[in-house]
Amino acid sequence: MKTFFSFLFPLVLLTTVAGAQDPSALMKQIRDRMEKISDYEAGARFKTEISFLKVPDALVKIYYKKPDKIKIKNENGISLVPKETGSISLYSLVNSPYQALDAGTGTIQGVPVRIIKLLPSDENGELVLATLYIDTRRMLVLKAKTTTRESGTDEVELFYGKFLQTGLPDKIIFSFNTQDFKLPKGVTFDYDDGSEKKKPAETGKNQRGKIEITFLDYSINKGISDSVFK
Amino acid sequence: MWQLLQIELLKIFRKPRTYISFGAIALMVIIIQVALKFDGRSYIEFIVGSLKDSLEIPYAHILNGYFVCFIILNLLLIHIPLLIALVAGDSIAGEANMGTLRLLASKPVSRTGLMLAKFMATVIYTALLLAWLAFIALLLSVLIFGTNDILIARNDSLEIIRSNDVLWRYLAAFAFATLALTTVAALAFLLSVFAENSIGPIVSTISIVIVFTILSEMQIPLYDRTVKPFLFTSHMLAWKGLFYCQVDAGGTAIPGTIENIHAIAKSSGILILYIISFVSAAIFVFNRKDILS
Amino acid sequence: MALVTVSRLTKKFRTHVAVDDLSFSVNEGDVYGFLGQNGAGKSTTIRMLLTLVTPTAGHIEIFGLDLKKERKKILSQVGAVIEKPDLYKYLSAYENLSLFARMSGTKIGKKELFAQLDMVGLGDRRDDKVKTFSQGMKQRLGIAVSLIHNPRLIILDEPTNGLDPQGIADMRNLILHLSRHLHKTIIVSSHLLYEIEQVSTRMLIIDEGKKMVEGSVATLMDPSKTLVEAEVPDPGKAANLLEPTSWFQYLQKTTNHTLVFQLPKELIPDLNRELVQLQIDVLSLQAKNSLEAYFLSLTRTKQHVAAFTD
Repeated sequence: MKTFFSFLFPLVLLTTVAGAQDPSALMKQIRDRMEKISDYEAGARFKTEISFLKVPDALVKIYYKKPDKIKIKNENGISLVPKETGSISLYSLVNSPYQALDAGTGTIQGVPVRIIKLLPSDENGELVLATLYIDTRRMLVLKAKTTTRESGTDEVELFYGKFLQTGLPDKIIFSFNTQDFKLPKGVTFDYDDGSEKKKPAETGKNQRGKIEITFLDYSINKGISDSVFK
Repeated sequence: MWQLLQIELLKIFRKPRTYISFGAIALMVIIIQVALKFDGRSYIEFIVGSLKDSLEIPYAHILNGYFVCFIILNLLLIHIPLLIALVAGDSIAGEANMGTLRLLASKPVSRTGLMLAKFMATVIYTALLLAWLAFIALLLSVLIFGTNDILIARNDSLEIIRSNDVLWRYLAAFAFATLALTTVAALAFLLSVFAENSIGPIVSTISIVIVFTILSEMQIPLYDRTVKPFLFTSHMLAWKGLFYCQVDAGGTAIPGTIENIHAIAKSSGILILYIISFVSAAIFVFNRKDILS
Repeated sequence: MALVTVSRLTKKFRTHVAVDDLSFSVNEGDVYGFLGQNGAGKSTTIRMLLTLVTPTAGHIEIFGLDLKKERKKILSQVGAVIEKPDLYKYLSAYENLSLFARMSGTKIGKKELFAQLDMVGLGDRRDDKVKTFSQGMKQRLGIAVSLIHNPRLIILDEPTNGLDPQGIADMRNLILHLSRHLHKTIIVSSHLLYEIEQVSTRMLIIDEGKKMVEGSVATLMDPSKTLVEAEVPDPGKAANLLEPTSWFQYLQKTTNHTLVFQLPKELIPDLNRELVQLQIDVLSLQAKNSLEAYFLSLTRTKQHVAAFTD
């Protein structure tokens, strides 16, 4: 959960590092690539799949500005967006000392990938471990997993298509643990329609939430005022 | 029949106490609106509780006319039975107390006809009271706060309904509330037959509604499947069901849907059954009643 | 022709028998006096005539129709003021009259309603709310309501209750007017004999729900059986003094303070003279007709009408 926003940073394709075998070199390319997009404004469809949030799809605007500003806005309606903690964005991850380890290969979206694990050098940091799944043929990060001390493992999967040229994804799916949410109790007089209630176990731990963002358009490096992120 | 109904309506709407209800609703609604206008954020924080720590809460968007109306209905619909009982409980007992019942019942109209006219007049009063509530709670709130998507707080979830998907739910909710409050009216009407002044039926109706509401809201498994399904107060809350959306496999709300329309239909059916029973009983008792007042 | 025929009417409220096997009939054109103490069963009987109370047993026929079967038809020709003339206080006189006129099943125009209000002297108050009215005005409006649909039979239950002397006199005149000029049949109940005897042609006395006397007022008021109470210091000694005289045959009884005679009214002056001659000190001399005497005898045992007895 806490790394939710970090994945909206340009987790870009790594076109120039074809054939690079050294995980550290690979990561350097990612960082360099991220530097090239200084801001973007994107229109997107925002889909929430969290058991206790019954929300229809929404059209939102997503704003990014280097180095770590991110804002999701729903001008016409209400969207409940998980809060950014900011402490462990991927940007800061790749900009702080870490050790990159080769963790073999795998398959994501039917594509063979290289798996790279990043271990932060700061042992007392919030982030414990990050894993990146990189499509080495197209040099794209297809999936990332981060494990933090507080909220366990969050996952992000990126899908590329029509915006491949810009190095930005068409769709991002986040999944995370939802036990952090504490719903207020006893403030509503609910209508009990007589149907069976969910057992507490179902709503308790280990429940995964999902947020799916489908990008409709990007406008890149046009300059965005800081006031947008207030 | 039409003439009797006209007469009964004249009586209700020339009685000063009738307007207490309209005034009380306006006053309560405006108090809530003023409070939310100046401190709506605190109320939303109260509703979302600790979720505000993990979610970005767009307070300004949430505090809109639709949302305010929902809060008003949530707070007021529980208390409106009092206002309904005020008139429905007076329907027969009030005339007995005033001494007009004996004159009325010695006129060449059937007692059943008289009772039906009285009850219909009470239903019209109830509907008008709800229309007034709709006008002041929905229209006035929308004028003050504008419209936007609506955030619904439930025991186990938060729900968002898009603004273009809200209005029909309100219309249905007001229609349902009319049905629910007609049930209260029917109960007060029945109790009114037994009494010689209107305080008795008004107080008993309110007591019954309060006790039943407590039973409906108590989270005691023993009552959940035994007592609760038979209490009309459990079904009176079904208007909220109109604001519960169906979700797809992934848990995303589907606009334009109702989570459990069968339950709402069943609740409506049960309420209608209650109304028919109460009114039939009232007519039965009144037809056999010796009018000694 | 009997307009109202009541046969063997009984009403029980749980264990209390309010009306007990009561039969009587009211002829067309009668002013039928219905006399009895409070609680004697008058109101219950009248309420049964108006279908407000369901009889436990018995049969009521009005206008030759069965009240049970032809309720609407009968009630559309009956006007009533039952006890206090309670009306809708928050409505005006006109609205009250119009409302009950509409309920009576006949179409009555605004003009007629106004005329009716004028007739009972409320023409200039017709738009005022009834809550501002005096008891007498309410009573008059009640009368207007009971007459607006031109009923054949008018039932007035204790119509003078709560009225001032002027109101009582007005009511008496109204009843006589309705009877003599409009030829209405009227049933009027009261617990006061003099009210009934002033207006009635026939009367019925009931007590504890039972019929005591029914007949024409002329017969019941027979002056040949006038009762005379003479208050004397020593009734026993007075009786002894009377014994040799012819007056002794009229002496009904002696009480602690009185001698009670029954004799034709015209003999009262002679009786008075005789008592003086016999040197009996008469403190007071009171004559009552037989009906009054009878009515009193009914109520003698009851506390609140003990005025004439020892």
